[in-house]
Amino acid sequence: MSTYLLQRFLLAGLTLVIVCFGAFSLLRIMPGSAAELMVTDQGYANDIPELRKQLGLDEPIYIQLWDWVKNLARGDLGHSLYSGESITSEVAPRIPITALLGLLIVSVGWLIGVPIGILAAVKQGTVIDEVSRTVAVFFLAVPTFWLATMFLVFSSIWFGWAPSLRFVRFTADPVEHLKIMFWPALLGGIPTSAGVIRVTRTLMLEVLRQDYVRTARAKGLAPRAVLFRHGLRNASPPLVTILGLQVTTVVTGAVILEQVFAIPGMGRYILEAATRRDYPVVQAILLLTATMLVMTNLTVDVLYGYLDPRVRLGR
Amino acid sequence: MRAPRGPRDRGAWEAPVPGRVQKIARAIRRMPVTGLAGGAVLAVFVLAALLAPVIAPYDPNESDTLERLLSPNASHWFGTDQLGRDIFSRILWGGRYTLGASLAVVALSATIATTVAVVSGYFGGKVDLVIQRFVDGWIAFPAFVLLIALISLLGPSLRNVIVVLSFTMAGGMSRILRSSVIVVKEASYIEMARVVGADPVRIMFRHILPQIVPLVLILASVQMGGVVLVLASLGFLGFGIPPPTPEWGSMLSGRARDFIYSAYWLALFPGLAITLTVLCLNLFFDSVRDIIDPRMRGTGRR
Repeated sequence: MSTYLLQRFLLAGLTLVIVCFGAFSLLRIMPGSAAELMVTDQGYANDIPELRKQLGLDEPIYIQLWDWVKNLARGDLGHSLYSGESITSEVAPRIPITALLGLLIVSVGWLIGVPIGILAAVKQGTVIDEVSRTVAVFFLAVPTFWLATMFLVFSSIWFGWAPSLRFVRFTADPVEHLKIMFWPALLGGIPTSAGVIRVTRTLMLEVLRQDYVRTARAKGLAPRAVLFRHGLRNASPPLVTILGLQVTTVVTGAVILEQVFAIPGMGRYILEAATRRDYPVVQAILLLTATMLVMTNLTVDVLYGYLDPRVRLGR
Repeated sequence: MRAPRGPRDRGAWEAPVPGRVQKIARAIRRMPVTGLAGGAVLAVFVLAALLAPVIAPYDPNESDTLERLLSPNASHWFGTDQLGRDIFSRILWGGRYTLGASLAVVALSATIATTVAVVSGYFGGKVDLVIQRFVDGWIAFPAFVLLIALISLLGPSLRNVIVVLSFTMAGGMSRILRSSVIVVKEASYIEMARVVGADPVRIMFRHILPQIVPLVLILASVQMGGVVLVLASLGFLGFGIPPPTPEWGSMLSGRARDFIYSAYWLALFPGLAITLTVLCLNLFFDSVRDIIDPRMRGTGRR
């Protein structure tokens, strides 16, 4: 294992520790007004001292921290104030739903984005290039929640049809489950593709200008082979980085689309919890999503090192 | 024609430095059509937002139960909502909040990011190491989830939304700025300043800051479109600027959602306003960035 990889793993580990501290401090920086509303509006306790006891905030801070870390190590994320259930058992069935939605959104985004990006680069300066750029700029400007709402409204007005908003679990009926996921994935993939189009185009243009591409063309290699084997292969390391950055965008999209399409995933869970001021749940989801992000970035770094030996070997 | 004199040409022997007016004129000539169009429409939107109290035909929050859910017509261009409020007036007023808030967010987050970047980059070594590990943790949280959590905790209000959004955005920006501070720091005149014993604070403010201000301005302005989108999304989810303030995103949510199938205009026009604003912001500031520094093409937004 190289120093590069070792360094990446160490940094990711350190970041995870900081993330844990950050999530831990969420309940501790809670302003009095929020605590008051948790008692008066939500009725989680009879008074504030009782609420603090319930949340374990009456203990000294180091004991709180120790308990939180100890429970995390056992996979215990605490209990929901609203339902009284264990958060781990509530969140577990939601993770695969959001994971699948996110995966589909990214796939759609790349399936739309990469071909358009390559096409725009190959046909640089032509009408196709201009159109694809305009499309990307438009896709980037459309709010997902509006696009989804317009889709629901106008499909029902024009075609008298609306996608089903009644959720079915994958285990109950895989086909129906995928049917339900199809539209949010498509609508979420559209804004995701905007970034992919731009980046693919830029990277391909850069690579296609290289000497080895000219050499490959000069020796009479088929244009397709030049494009994919010499072009795309060498444009791929930075594309992997974009994939890592997109996870944040996809999380945002998932939160919004799960709300619009009534999909009971993690995004909906945190929205409900934040609305109900169920902060232990909010805290747990913050921790989970941040952990996922750190892991993705680590994976990207490792992949980058694999795809680009210069990085791995320190130039 | 004599060139207007810039602030730098004091002596007669110096070649006339192009003045600000000429620089702007040249920039406009070099700007692509899309950028110009975006800028022009944006100017109209800004003007409409500024003049909303004058040009809005109705009070944005005045409900008229006799005029509920009217479709677009001559007296209500964009129709009325479920409370009988004029949607056109609400969009005009909503533009004030959206544009004003996003400007505030961009300014505040740029300030935070610059401060962190300059301190971390200038001192370097252990200070940099510690600060950067905190930035690691800061940007590790998915921004949108963090926003929802913090706004729920602090309570949704115009001020809280602006502050929280600025902080969540500043982390990533400080990273980009820091690397440029490190480059600037190596310049020999900074070393000179240090050698003659200039105060670090003075070096940071007088010598480093002016060097990175153009980059800060570009990064910040390019992000404005994204900020408008996030503000609207937060409003839609109920964590933005709270009602009854006419906010574009929240006009599509809450009670209005029960009526959008029978009254499409409730959802269509606020969304169009958001899309057009973001589109024009992106088109305009992207071309400004490309003119100022063509190497920056494609940076600053994800």
